[in-house]
Amino acid sequence: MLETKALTKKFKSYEAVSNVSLYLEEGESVGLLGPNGAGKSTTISMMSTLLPPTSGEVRYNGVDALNKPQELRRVLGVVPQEIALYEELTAYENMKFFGRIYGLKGQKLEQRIKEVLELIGLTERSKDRVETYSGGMKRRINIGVTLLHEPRVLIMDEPTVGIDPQSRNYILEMIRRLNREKDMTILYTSHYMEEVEKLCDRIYIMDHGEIIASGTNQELKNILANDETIRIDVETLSKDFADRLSSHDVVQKVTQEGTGYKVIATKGDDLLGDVFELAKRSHTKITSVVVQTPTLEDVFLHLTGRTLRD
Amino acid sequence: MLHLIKKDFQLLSRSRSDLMQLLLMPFLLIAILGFALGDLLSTGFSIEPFPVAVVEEQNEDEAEEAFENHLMAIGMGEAERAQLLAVTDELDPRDELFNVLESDEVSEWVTVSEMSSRTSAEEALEEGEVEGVIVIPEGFSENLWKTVLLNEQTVSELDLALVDFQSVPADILRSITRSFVDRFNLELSIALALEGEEETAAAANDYGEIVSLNAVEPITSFQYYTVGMGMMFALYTAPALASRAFKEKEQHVFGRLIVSGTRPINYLLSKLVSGMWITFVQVAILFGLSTLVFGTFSGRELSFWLDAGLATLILSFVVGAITSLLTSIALYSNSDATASTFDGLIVTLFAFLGGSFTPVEQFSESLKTLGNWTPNGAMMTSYLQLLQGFSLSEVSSLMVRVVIMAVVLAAMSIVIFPKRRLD
Repeated sequence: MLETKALTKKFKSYEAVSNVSLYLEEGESVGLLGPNGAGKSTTISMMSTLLPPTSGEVRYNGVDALNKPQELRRVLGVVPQEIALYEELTAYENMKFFGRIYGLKGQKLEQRIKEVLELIGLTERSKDRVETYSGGMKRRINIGVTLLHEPRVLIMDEPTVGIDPQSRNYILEMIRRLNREKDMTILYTSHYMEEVEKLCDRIYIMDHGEIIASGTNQELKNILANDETIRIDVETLSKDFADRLSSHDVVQKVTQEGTGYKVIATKGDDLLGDVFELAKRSHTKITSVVVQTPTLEDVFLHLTGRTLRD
Repeated sequence: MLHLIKKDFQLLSRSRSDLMQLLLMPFLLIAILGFALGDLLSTGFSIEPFPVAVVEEQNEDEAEEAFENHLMAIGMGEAERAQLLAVTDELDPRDELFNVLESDEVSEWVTVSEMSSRTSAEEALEEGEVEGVIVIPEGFSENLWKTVLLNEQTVSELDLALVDFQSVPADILRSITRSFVDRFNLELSIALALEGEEETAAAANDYGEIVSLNAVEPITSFQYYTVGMGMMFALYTAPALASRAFKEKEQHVFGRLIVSGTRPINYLLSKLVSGMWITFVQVAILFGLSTLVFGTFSGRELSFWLDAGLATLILSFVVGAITSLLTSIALYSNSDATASTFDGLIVTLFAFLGGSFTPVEQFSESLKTLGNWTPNGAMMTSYLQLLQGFSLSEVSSLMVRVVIMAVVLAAMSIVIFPKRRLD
């Protein structure tokens, strides 16, 4: 339905996006996961026909969307990371304005405004100025405006940044419903792996402007099928202990997290026994040890040596 | 595009700071400057009477003799000739011109000295002894009599030489001489045709007053500052809208509009039209409010309001074009520095040059000339001249200049506007 081929964007000598090829099937929910600065926003700007690429293609149903953007724009909804609204206007006024821009009018427009306000749970506050809204409410109206013309493809750029857990859950549930009940095709970018895991059928992991892995949630985790993740909490953090862990034969990565360490190691060896031995030698008191199932965060750590929030 | 324009009005009406800047501040300044600087202005604006040389290339007796010869040449009988020659004694254009120039109203502005020849007068002009020369050419009176009394098609024109064609004295002299000849021809012909010869003398006697009223009406401090502040604060509309456009881009609203199918060029044109109509409404409110509160333009005829409406439309057009250019630059350079500079520096500079604070001709005539090349300055001069009773055709050259400026600025904005690069 929508695909990119070798999409590249250079800003002077800096290559923000390099050879990104990805695709979205109709009705699919696809995640684009990566840390800040990975090139996600630039990629979706090019996919939205807002930013011309340095090279590469964007195709919608086989048609070159860069040279003929009208067809894609007609069915496209883009939720930017920023609150792309007129905050001095009320939610209703914003919806009316953008609805008209999308070509809706009269009864149809009023009907859609009513439906979308109900969907995003802002009917009661529709006459209030957006500037008086909480962060979560602004995010909801930011999405709502994009839904007015019932887009077939919805591209969302980190739509839950900086909001409370309750609003976040509301938004995630809303997106899931749009995908499952309305059969809307969704490209969801985020650096929160839990959101992508929860919402998306397939995931692209991006770093330094490149796609470094792709597949379903399980396929990505299978990258770590031969590895295990061990979470070790200690009474006092010790550099000596961390160094001893890092130099162990089967240990691949050791990262400090809160009051302990996260260790990624090859499965099969009796690492746990050695962990206690190494702690004893470095006079470190272990308070807990948990063997975890690998997460997408672990996959990213494994692939890049960094965490998603770095 | 209407939705985009309506939205700009809506946003402006919600912004307290913009409303203060565009409406409240100029109104307060009109009040303060109008009251406080009223006397200062009248002192500053009144022009010292400037010297004008008048050269008569044919004296009255020679003119009458030439006219009599003409009457004989066309075969007019003696009795008729005597009757018409008697009228010429009463109807001497040369005397009428001197009556006008020496009338109370005009003598406040002009001191007249007679010179014997065109050459000596032009020398005096070159040496700066006089600011203008009016030459009554040979055949001037004769031609006027032929037109008025014999209904012959002749052309009577006074020759005018000026030091500076853009100066206020130049405007005054032009107005006096042009309307003198036009009205003399027109009104006396009508009077003769309708009322007979007895009425002619009366009409001629009234003429001096007509000229002096139409030449230059005094400008009150409230009129001056209502126009001055109107012109200055109209310019602020442009950076206010351009900064808003930049904010729209920063907050990705612009991107949202483009994805929704809005053509970039329509977006730019909407800024031009918004700038135009917001300025029109702003100036209309300021002029209206000033008239309501201070009686600034009370009692003006409908023709004045129509002319002022056209001038306001032209002013609005140029502000719309500036809005569009600043918007293009902001989106192209990805910065609203140009709009901020325009807001913080250029408006003040233009306002000074254009005479919004004080008439700059009191400092130098070159400043006035320079000011007339700023859109606000040119429009301010136009409004003031309309207030002084000049006709629209007399101020049209400055208005045409502003329209050309607006077209050039709008064209530049279209060229600069980033049609594809929307990052």
